[in-house]
Amino acid sequence: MESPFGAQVLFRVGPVPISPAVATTWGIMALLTLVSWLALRRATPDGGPVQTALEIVVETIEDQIRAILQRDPGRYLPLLGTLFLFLVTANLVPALPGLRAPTSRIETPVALGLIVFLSIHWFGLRETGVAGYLGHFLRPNPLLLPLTLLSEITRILSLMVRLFGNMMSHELILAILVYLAGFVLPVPFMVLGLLIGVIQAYIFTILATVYIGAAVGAVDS
Amino acid sequence: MISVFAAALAVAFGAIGPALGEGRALAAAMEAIARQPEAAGTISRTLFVGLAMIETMAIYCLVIALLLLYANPFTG
Amino acid sequence: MTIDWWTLGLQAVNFAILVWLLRRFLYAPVRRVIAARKREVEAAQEAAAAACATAEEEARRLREARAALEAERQGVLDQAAAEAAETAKAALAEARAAAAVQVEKAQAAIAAERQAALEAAQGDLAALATGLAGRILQDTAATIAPGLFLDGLADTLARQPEAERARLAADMAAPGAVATVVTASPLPPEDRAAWSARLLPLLGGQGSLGFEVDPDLLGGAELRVAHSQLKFGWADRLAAAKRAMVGNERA
Repeated sequence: MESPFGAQVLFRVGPVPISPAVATTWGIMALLTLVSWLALRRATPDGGPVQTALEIVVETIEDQIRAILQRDPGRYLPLLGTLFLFLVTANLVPALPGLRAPTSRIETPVALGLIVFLSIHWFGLRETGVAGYLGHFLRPNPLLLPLTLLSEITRILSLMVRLFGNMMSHELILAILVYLAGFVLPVPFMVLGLLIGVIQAYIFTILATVYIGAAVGAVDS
Repeated sequence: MISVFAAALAVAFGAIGPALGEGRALAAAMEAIARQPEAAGTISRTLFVGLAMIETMAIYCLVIALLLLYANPFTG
Repeated sequence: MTIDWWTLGLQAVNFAILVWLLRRFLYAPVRRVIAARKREVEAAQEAAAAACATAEEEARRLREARAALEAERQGVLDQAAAEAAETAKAALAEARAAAAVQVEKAQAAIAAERQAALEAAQGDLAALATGLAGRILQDTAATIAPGLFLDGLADTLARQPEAERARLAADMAAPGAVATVVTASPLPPEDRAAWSARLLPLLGGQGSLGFEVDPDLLGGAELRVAHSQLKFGWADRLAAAKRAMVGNERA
């Protein structure tokens, strides 16, 4: 059983080692972009079923963002929507044989967590200004500043580790089950894995939205 | 070897508290939805966020277990 | 434990690229489509609102037309009712007038009938009375000498107005003029001389006096000069009495 940590190298591009996670991510990117482009290449107000499905997805995400942030989701949609779509796709990738979810390696959740971390402060600064945003850390009580700063880091840490832990541990359990019981018993667990993957994607996105909302002053988290 | 036991203990006991807490939160959310089905969307979203917060404890335990298993600073 | 920093960095870059790609190929078209659809829906709503307003207007117009028709109908009905009332009133008045005329006519007829009956009764009564008196007089006249009437006749003649006397005298003055004395019974010759002596001077003293007998006179005497008659007969008196009785009653 291989460690979830540590470098794997699929191939190298010059000096850069390309891990399977990166390759899978490229595939996911290509897939999402291609589907979007094909479905919306000639988008009309009364489009086909694929276009309508994509519209429903985007609009549902918009509605969720709007409900949490209580403002126009236009500025936040690209980041948060892409986060959700990418995570759902990435978490569902293990359904295909031979592929593993990029999120079950520590690097991808960390990268996403860092991006969310930076986005929180970026949106917070942009929305409330420098003074307002820095004052937001002192708001309940200036004495709590260290704790506030610590929670800023730990919540991102828990965000990334939650995603990584869920995906990795499920993969681990599947590996153990396959090792112990053969090839039929893991099937329900794989289905459960799909459910967990979608839920984790949802939770990751919702938490990122809530954190951003707290930063821009919409939610008191 | 001890680190394996320690990791198992950490995950096992670390899961108890969040499990109880999540159970209570879920029961309360169920009751709330039963009372007010029209608020199900808001309630379930808040429930997920709250569950994530509670889960954080279990995740810290998981992190410690993983550290013990794969990155134990005392065994090199 | 090692972290693959290359993978970490690449994944971050990948995600950033994916954000840009999806923004370019997913969110923007979807937003465009939704905006276009919203515009379409708004346009449709506006059109529907316009159509609604038109229909509203039409409905209002129809309502007004109906109200006008209703008013017109009401007017016609009122007019008809008024006309009918007028006609009825006129007919009633006419009927009433006709009835009044009828009643009046009937009353008049009744009155006339009563008058006629009364007059007939009076006439009968007068005829009876005069007839009775006539018979009595006729019975008694024979016993009365006509000479007794001379004074009455002479008085009557003397009471005639001067103009009448003059006219009588002029008549008598004509040659051969005869004043005829009519009596119910023949006068004895001695009486005739006395009558002539008495009457002729009153008639101007000229001409002569003739004598005739007319039993219808019942009694009394008449003096006929040319076209004039001086009546002093009982029959005349009875007739006068009868006329007076009837005329009196009538007055």
